[in-house]
Amino acid sequence: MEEKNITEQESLAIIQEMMNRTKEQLFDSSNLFLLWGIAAFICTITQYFLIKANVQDSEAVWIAMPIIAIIHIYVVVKESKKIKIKTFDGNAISALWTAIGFAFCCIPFIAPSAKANIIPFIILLYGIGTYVTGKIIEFKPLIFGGISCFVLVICITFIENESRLLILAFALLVSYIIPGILLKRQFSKQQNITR
Amino acid sequence: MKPFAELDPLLHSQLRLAVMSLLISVKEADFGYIQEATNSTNGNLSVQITKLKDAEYIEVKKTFENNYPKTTCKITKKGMKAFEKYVSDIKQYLTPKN
Repeated sequence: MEEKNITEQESLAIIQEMMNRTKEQLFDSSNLFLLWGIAAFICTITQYFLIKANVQDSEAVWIAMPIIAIIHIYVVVKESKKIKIKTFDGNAISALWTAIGFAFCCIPFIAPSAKANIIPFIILLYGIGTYVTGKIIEFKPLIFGGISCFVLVICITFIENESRLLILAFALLVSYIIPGILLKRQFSKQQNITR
Repeated sequence: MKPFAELDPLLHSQLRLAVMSLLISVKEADFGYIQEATNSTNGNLSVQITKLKDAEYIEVKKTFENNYPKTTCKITKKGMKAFEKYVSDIKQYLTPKN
């Protein structure tokens, strides 16, 4: 492109072409969904089997989460260096997950005083995060994953304690792992087209 | 018949309009990205960006990243209003009303 005068039709074509360019997905967030999804899935299943084997302090498996948070920060810093553009959508998603991250940190403090099992709260937060992200980026598997979490939260009230962990694992599978794999596939396809 | 509004000469130019159209839908964009998206030369893009900056249509931020200079551009409120007016004016040309 160069500095030249244009017709009105050409003007509209330029506006449309440039606006469409920014609609392309520019940040591959699938790695983060997969990182948290797989790590939490492994912890959940491990805790379930430890409880079944009558191992005490089975919650200790969740100590892995701060390590995942460090890997998360590393991935985000590395990926953000590659980003050449900041979108309003990206900003909204980032703010949403930061808020959800804070909420996750609050749960262990609230739960004992509320004498409540924390698993439904965790699934609710998964649901909110994935549903809203799915709506923002218009990605149906995330929307479906979010809705599934809300249904699972209702189902969990009819289930006994350790079996709730299996519901949590299922929630992770439908809201993080499967959408994460599909998102990665879509991102790779887009990269191949734009290359 | 109502006379057509005069199109903003600063925006009615291929490269400047492309830059503004790109920046209107993002929070901010890197110079390299704009250059790639508009398929323009470094020198020409710099000149056009300076013109938009002088008109206060965009903000230009120069920083350093890994010891390399990094330029990011962001549309201003004045730029947004000018762009919206340009789009509404151009519609008159394409769908003239009596």
